[in-house]
Amino acid sequence: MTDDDHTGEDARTDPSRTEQAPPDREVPPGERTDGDQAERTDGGVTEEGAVVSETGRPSLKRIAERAAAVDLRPLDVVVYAIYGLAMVFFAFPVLWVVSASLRPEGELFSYPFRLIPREVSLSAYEQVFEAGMLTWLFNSTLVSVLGVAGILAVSVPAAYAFSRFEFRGRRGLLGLVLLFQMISPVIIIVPLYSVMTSLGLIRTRIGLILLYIGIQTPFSIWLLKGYFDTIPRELDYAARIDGCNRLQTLRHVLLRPIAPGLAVVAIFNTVLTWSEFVLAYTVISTESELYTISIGVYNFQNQFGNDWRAIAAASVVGMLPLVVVFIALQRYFVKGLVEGSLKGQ
Amino acid sequence: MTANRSVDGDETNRTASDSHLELRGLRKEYADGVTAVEECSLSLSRGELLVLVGPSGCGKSTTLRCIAGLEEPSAGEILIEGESVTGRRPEDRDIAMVFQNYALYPHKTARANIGFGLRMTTDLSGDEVDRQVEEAADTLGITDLLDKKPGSLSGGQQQRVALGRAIVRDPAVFLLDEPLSNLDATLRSQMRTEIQRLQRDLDVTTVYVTHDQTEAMTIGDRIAVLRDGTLQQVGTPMDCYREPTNRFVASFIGEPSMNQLDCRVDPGGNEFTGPVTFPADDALMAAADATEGREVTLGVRPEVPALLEPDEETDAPAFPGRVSVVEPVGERSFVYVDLDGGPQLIVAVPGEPAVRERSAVSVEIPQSGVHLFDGATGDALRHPDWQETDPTVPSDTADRSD
Repeated sequence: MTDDDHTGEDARTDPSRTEQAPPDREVPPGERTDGDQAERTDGGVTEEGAVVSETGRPSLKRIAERAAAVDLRPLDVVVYAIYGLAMVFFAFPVLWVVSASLRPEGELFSYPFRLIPREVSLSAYEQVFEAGMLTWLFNSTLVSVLGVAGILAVSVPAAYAFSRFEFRGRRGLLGLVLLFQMISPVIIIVPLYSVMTSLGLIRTRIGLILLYIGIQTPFSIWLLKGYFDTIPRELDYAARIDGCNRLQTLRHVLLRPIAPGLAVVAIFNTVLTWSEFVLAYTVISTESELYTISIGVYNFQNQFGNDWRAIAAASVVGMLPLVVVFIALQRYFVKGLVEGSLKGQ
Repeated sequence: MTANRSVDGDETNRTASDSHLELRGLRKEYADGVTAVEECSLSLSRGELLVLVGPSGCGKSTTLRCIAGLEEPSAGEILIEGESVTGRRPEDRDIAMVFQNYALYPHKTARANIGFGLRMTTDLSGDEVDRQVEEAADTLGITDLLDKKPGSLSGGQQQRVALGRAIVRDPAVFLLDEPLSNLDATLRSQMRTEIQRLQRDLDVTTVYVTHDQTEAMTIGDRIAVLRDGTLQQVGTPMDCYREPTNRFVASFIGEPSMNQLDCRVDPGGNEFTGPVTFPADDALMAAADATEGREVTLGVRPEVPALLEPDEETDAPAFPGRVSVVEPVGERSFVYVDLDGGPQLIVAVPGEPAVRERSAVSVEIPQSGVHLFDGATGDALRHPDWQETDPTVPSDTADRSD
């Protein structure tokens, strides 16, 4: 973004470029529309796009001219083209899901495919909320919030200890923690199931939460230990001389400098616990009152076929809270990074 | 028994009044078997500034951390005002510490940084804490910085805030761990003076750790030279300079380093043979007799030799050589001379030297200016008599030891 702004400014201040710019604007209106449409073709295949692709060559030339006008070097153009392609690649499925969720019944597979539906309908949303979407949202929220809180509650003190305390077997224990992380939960799903059954944790939310805490803590410890390691030990020393015990040192002095780390752990684990399916399905099983979002979505598939509109609508509703959490924490993440800078390191 | 007890009591009293901070046989060994500090015993009187100096890894910072209570010594005792504080928590030792990287809490303002210790350890009201913080800030001239965070302060300002955090608690002992090494040269000498002034004004017993011998010489009432965790010498800076106890102290203290020539004592000929043949006088020969082996090291401070014309007549021993490098540093110059026998000598001459690089010279080394060390153990055998060469020295020494 900043690059764009910058180059734009250059173009404005450079007199030779301002001389060049007017002819650009004096181009006959018809040709200019072509150019605009050509840009749109990059965004998706539309009917208009099909028409413009015939005049694709002159419009490409126009793009190059514009690039020159804002002082883009050929390499930049290539790089931005790759960015654009990547954006399309990642955004398309999301757009497709949103588009699919907004169609009336029966319009999904009509030919030719249209990204923007001819007719907007919220019937799919009505359907998923009738099917219990609010319950799923509640369950997912509960599991994620408590799960992430639990993960942080365990991994922050553990990472602090691994980073700061000198105790026998520290390295070995750290290796062991990493080893646990390497075992995929799916591999141990059968013994997990039997252990959880005998503990009475199957078909309970708390069982699922404990499982998430157990599985995600090792990784979080490693990640946070890295953050703790970057903070000079002198900060601990200063805190101890100022009268803090170990826990107060962590609470008053170290927690703020590692805030970016906490944000990363929180974001990562929220995304994971929110959308996790295999373990949730194993633990919750057929208890529909306890369904999380992912199980709810899954249940729109059945032996008679997949209700794609409902799956899409449920996915969109399930996606929104994550987007909100991410944006909220991302701002804090950047703030923490700036504040955490220590001079003299 | 009664008599014994009273004697004990007297001794305790004396110790308490004489030394404000005392280390007795301090030893620190880490879990991996590395001994960082070995049998370190030191005693500081009230208001004294002692500099712990030595190359990196010599255990000086570990010693400081043991005094602070940040590390537990493996053996030995630490006494403050005659009371053992070994095993006490840092905040119960009445000490304050300043760190090399200042270790300011990055998310707190300067005010909160300075006041944090008071808030954690005392039940003073918020207003009282603020008042004391303002007072400390006033002493250091940082009142206008109090609401800034460390990230927006310059190195020197951060250093002052760190000092403020230390003085606000009015500690019995001040511990400074390389407080100046993160500052640029100009600021460093400025802060050095400031720390000296602050320490005098507050009259607080201070242990100052540095690896910079110039800093140690200029700032310390006394300096303690450490090497590989072992205390080498404790004394006033000039004592350590004039009468280093061994070869290590001799080469570490003084800039540039003392010239050292490894020689053998020639049994019959009254001379030391080695890269050069140095004729010994009676005093040197008598001192050399004290060694068990025949190996000795001659030590010559760069200020001692004089540069002569190649064939100039002189009473003192003189050695031909060729000038290798001339380093002018302003008020004096260092001349590196390659002697014909092989070794290189550094000679400090006032002002700009008359010699040029690659010119032939003769280096005169008067016997009266030569230190003699045992070649095997490195212990000092003889020091030049300083009272003869510099009559102002004794009074200076007397001032310092007061």
